[in-house]
Amino acid sequence: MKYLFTILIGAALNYALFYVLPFWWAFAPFAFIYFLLLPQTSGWRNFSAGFLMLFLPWLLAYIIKDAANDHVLSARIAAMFSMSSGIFLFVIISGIMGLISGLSANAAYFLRKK
Amino acid sequence: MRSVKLYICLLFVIAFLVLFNARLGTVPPIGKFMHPAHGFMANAETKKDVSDAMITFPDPEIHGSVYFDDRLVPHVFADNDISLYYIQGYLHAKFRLWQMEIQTRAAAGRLSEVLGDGLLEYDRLQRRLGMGYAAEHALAAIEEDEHMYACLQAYTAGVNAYIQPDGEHIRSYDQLPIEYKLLDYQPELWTPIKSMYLLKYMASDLSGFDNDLEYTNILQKIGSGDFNLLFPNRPDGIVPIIPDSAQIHYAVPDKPDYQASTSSPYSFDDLQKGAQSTRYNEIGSNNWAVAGSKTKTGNPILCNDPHLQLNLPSLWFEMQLHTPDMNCYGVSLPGAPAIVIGFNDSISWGMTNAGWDVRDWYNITFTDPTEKQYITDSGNQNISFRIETISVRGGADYIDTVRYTSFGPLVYNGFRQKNISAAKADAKENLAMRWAAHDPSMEFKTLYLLNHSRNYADYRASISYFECPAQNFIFACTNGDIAITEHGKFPVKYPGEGRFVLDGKADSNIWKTFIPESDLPATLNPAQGFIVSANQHPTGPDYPYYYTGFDYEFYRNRVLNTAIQHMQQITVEDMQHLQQNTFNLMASEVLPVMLDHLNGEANQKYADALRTWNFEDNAEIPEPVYFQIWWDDLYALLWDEFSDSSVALIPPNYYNTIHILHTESNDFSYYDVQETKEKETLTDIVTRTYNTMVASVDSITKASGDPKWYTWKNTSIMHLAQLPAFSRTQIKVGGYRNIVNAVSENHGPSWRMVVEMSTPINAYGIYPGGQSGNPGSAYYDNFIDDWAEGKYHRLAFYSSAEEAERSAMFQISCNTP
Repeated sequence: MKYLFTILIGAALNYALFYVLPFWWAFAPFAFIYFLLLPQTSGWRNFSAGFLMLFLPWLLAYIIKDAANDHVLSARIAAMFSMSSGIFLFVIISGIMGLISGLSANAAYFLRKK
Repeated sequence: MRSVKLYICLLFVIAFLVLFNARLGTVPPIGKFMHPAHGFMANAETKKDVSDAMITFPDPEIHGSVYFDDRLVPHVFADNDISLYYIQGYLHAKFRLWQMEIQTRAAAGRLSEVLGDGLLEYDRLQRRLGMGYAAEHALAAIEEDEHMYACLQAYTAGVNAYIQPDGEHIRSYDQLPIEYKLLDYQPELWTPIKSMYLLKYMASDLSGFDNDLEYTNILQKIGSGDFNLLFPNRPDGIVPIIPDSAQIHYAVPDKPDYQASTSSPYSFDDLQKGAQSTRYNEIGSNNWAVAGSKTKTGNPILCNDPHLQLNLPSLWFEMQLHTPDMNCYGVSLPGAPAIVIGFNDSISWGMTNAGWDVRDWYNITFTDPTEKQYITDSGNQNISFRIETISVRGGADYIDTVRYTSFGPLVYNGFRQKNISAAKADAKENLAMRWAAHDPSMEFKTLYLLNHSRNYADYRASISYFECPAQNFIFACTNGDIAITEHGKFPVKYPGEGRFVLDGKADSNIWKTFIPESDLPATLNPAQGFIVSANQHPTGPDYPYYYTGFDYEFYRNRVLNTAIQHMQQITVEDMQHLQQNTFNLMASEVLPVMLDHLNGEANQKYADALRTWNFEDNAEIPEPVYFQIWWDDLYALLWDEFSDSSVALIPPNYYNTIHILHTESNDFSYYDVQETKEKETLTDIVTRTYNTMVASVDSITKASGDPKWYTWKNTSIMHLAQLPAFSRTQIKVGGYRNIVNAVSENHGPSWRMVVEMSTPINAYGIYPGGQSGNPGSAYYDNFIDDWAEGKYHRLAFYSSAEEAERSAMFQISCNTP
């Protein structure tokens, strides 16, 4: 429960940060601090929670905008990266960014255990 | 152990952040670009972007309302000129900011600053062509006119109100057009000279041509007998713009300084080295007007379709501009105020390019190697220097010194230019350029006054300010008048002057006087009841002034003249239909000769198809492909004498080539192929190129089935940064160059307009693009399919703000509560 709760709160905060802060990388220090304050029971849990709490809102923000745009722009940008549809691009980019967030969360775990 | 893991994790995090924060080659900074709120998805337009809004400008005295119709065409209702052009500037920026900026950068030779050193040679050429010198002169001229300058400043402030919404800071990253994010740079503030650069960009596109260096080389290579046969200045059979029925009485040319030159055309010590030859017939346009006597309703109808390079975002932006003393509709050029081609409630006007050669070259002899003075008949003249500093992204500034003579810049000054069509010579000589576009002039004032014109007299007064690029201004009025004027700054020349490089030492070669306003080619209400211009010669042989063109067209105008001559009871639909005409007159005049000379032993399958072809270049048939491949090969093989890759040369144009095919004997010396020992005849080269065509069509058929004209032609509308993902290719459309519907690979009718001068005005138009410059908008390319199918939009020309408001999709109020 606490694990899920941590992810949901973190995801909501990340979503808000997208619009509040102008720095694209804000999620990385945020994940680090967030998991210093809310440590999980293992490094793996820190990592996966850190991943999901960024992956999910990042992807969601894409999907909401993309639906409102009728996929006009995502199709063009996907073509630029030789992909057939925007959704692949969205998942890949959200995944890579999630990975950074997860690593940052993981670093917080190791710092507390040091 | 755990701290090692900590450091590894942190290292990875930081490495990723650094990597994604950087621009890698042409890949934009991925982190910023992909951010879901600020990155490219911020450019994904939604319904919110087409809903009512209120803007507060930094300049409180600006008032007006903008009503957008369902095609996103803004109808601007403003209190006065200042508010009007301010709002126009704001809207241009709102929909087309990146395009405006990149085009003015291209004109100014400032692309390297944002795109890197790959564009350095391009930038250097722009500087050497004197684009800055020209723009500065144009700005100085406009500064003299208080009201015009105030309008231009208002326009500038409007653009900047978009770039800096708060009056202090450039728009934030998330609010920038997507191209800035992709190319990773920021817009800079607009200034009045940028609008001048845009006008010079058009001047360069439309008048920055001549064949002087090529002709000089050719004259030297083949002698004057052959030259006059292959390159006649005024061939037989042309139908000029000003019809014979027009009964013009020219003032006897008053040429106080006119004198026959004593100097013969300049001859190079050895032939100019150069790269590719120029290609003919890329740009052109049609316009025509029919008088009420020929129309069903009795109202004149005016038509115009300027053929330009087709790009996304489109060159044009459609608008209605309304103030208490003007109501005007048409297309504007993002980056410059006013409507360029369009109509108001009294008149309509359009333009085609005048192919009049207004660019000459002078060979300069320096007094000594310091190159500070040059020699003329009237004594040594000083050179002036213009230091051009080109900023290069990711590199050091490049500093170039351009020498200026009294003619203009020394474009070639021991300077080796590669593969640039406007500058073909790899010259040892020093060549100065005299170009009408360098002179101070106020083309913007013409547009401003045309927008306000009520009748023929107003129209003539308006265009009197338009000097370069010279245009055929077609005109129609609700009172029934139709007219055309070829207007530009045309030097009075002695016969032959300016076809070849001139001797810079001879004072008699200097442009001294210009054709007076009263003697410019023009006609008002000619007896035939219609006027056609399609880049052909403007006048018949009785015109008293000598002129030469860089690229006259011989086919579209004859198709149009013949068609309109036979039409009565003309309707708007008839005129729309005529703009879509795909009859290939050129093919009809040359193909019979080709088929007659084809050796009977050749495989006849494609020849048989061509024998029954009706010469229509329709999108989905194969015959135009057979003809075009065959003709292109034949033309190249015939004129192999003019395709020396080390020398700047140009082959005879299509019209003269076809005349020769009809009149010369089968063993005319130029039919011989240079690279073979045998002496070829027309039959030989026709058959040889036919066989090449059969082979290439067979291989196309084998790979992808029977060819279709549109797939072979591959009409493409490329994004200005050449990004395929933002472009449209394989557009299903017929026509070609030299055809009324002049859609070639990447040029074509950039705006089709048909205006009936009824009350109220009944107007139709379409351009191949969309109102929004944003690839993330549904309005980015939404006109293209309709344009390709030959459809038109009924243009909503509102008489009042209330009427506009009733049918608006949404509206923007400017500084009004």
